[in-house]
Amino acid sequence: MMQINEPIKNKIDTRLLFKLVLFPCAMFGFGFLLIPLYDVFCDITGLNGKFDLINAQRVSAEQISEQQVDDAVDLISQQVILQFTTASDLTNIWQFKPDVSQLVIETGKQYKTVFHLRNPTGQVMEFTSIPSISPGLAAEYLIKTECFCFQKQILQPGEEVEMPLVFQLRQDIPKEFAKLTLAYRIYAKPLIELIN
Amino acid sequence: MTHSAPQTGIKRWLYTTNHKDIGTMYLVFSLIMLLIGGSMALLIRSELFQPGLQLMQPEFFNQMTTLHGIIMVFGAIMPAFVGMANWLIPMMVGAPDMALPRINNWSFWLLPFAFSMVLSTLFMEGGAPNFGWTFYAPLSTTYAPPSVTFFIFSIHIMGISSVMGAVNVIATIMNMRAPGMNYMKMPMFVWTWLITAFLLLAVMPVLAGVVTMMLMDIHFGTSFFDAAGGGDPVMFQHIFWFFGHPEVYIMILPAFGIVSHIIPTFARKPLFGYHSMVIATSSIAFLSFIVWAHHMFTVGMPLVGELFFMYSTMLIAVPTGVKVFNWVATMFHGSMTFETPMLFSIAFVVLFTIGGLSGLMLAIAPADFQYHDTYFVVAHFHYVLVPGALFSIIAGVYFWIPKWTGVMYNESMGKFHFWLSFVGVNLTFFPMHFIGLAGMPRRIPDYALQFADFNMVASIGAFLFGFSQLIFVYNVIQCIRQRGNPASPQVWEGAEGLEWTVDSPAPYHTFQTPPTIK
Repeated sequence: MMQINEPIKNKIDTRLLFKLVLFPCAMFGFGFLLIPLYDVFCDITGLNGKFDLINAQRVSAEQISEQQVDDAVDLISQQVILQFTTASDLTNIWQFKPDVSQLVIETGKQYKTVFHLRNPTGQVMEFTSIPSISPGLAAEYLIKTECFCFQKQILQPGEEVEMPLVFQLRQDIPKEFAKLTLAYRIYAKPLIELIN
Repeated sequence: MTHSAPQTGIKRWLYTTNHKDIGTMYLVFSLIMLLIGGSMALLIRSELFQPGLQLMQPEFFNQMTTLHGIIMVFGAIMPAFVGMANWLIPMMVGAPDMALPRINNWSFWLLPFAFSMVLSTLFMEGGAPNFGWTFYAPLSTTYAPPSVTFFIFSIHIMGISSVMGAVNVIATIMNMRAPGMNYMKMPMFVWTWLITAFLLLAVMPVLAGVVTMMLMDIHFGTSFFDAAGGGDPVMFQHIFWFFGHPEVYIMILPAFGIVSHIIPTFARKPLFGYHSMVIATSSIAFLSFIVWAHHMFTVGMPLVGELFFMYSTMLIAVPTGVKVFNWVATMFHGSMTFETPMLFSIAFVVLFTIGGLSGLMLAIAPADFQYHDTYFVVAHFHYVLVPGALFSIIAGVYFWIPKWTGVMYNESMGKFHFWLSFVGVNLTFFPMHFIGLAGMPRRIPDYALQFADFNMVASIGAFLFGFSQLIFVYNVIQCIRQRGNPASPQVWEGAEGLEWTVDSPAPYHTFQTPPTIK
């Protein structure tokens, strides 16, 4: 039989193939890009009880006081109850406590409190503490000027540390947030394991 | 271009670049996986036959639910559709083969290795993966058995195979259509597969990404999903379902295509609303990207998020409804006959609609808090996957097997198979709606006494359904062994399309000269 058409292989569009290969590769990257995208989204919206530390530091005390002057007319400081809770990872052997379990604070004023952590194990431990605020939407109003969150620290056996937290509540916090909870959970693992 | 006869023996199957051979291998592979995954389902159902632990430990039960899900989704349903795409798309668009035949061979041969790897985890220390087919972190990272690494690599291999298959389908459809076959003349199966292939290209790499993140969390000390290092386990669910929701349409769109061929054939009327079918399929594909969080209403999303995902999910009912009404309108005033493929297709329309409606119930965010992680969800997705996707595959096999083998299957055995499957499937999954609404959680080996009766009914139905598939296997084997009446090229009176213009069985090479399309 006579072949009327060109061999079919020559008809394959290599540019199309290139695009078809490039697209899944880009989507593989997009999968990883979703992580920062979600973080940005949570930062902007204040969802998930997350707050951006970089942002918090940039909005330093000076800027807040400037803002206070601007908005002084319609902002009166209000009282908010702030509770502190602590929890540890599944091992449950950690001695981790806030200095006070709750504070009645006025918005716009700076406060300082301390958390105590002791390493009861016989091992050198590395730990991180992860904060979370509930209700999550209030996270953006709590500005922490000094915090031990997310930092990796090392504790010798039996060592005890005091971890300071300096914070203030923005004055424009909506009235419905009369009671906030700041929860810290620590995650620890023996340092030896890390070296191995 | 040389067109040799097939090689003999095992070499034919190892080296083949022929779309029909590769299609056959995909279909046989998926049938084997269906039987393996089905046996696991029967183990699950026998444990759940009565309350209490009778046959297996909870750990093994969890491994069974995980492997059943993985094997059915990635090993049975998806390869079956790829097999059909291989067999049918070149014949339907008038092309001599797939666009990239060697890649086609490779994408098939990756699968047996991927699934041997998954199944081998059953014999490893610590057992097979036990965290459910959705493998949520940290269950699949911090608390996973050591075999999770094999699981991750096999998912990578499956992903590569699917992406290459999708590239091949798109290249074939876009480059190799016969002259005169423009996009709006393409058969529905080709259309639905084109859209499915784009979904595969978009989301399989995201799945590969998420398992890579798991791998890095487990072995390289990163903290993508580990709160201790500043990561977030909920992030896993977001990324997984960004893949997962389009994935469920990957498993149903080709089914829509198959049914859109069978119903017009046996109603002896052209498909009602071809254009609206194409548009509806594309809309479903688009919407699948913006509804993923309806799988995770209970993770603590803000109200706005719940509302967005609730409304966008409900919106999917519109194009899906268009399709269902189009199928019904195709049958309306048709001269219908009820051969086995048609019976399975009608059952598809009815039972898939039930699954769709329970999906709508689940889409209502406030109600979902009650339904979440109960047997109601199990009932829902089995209704769309078993009498949905699987019935369409069975219907498609009965419909095209005379073309593939040149032999008519045994019609009365086919009808018997249909009625046993129909009764079995409903007996298995319908009671799950009730026990789900009554609060029985999914993925548990033991349950409270008040769920006992319905569970017993479901288990009996499962065995009926499972064993009636052996009739199907026997019927298919008889066709392959050429036992039966020879089929004409046309096979079905009302069949239309290029694949019915070639001989039965289809010659090893078809359409070396492109046909002309009027």
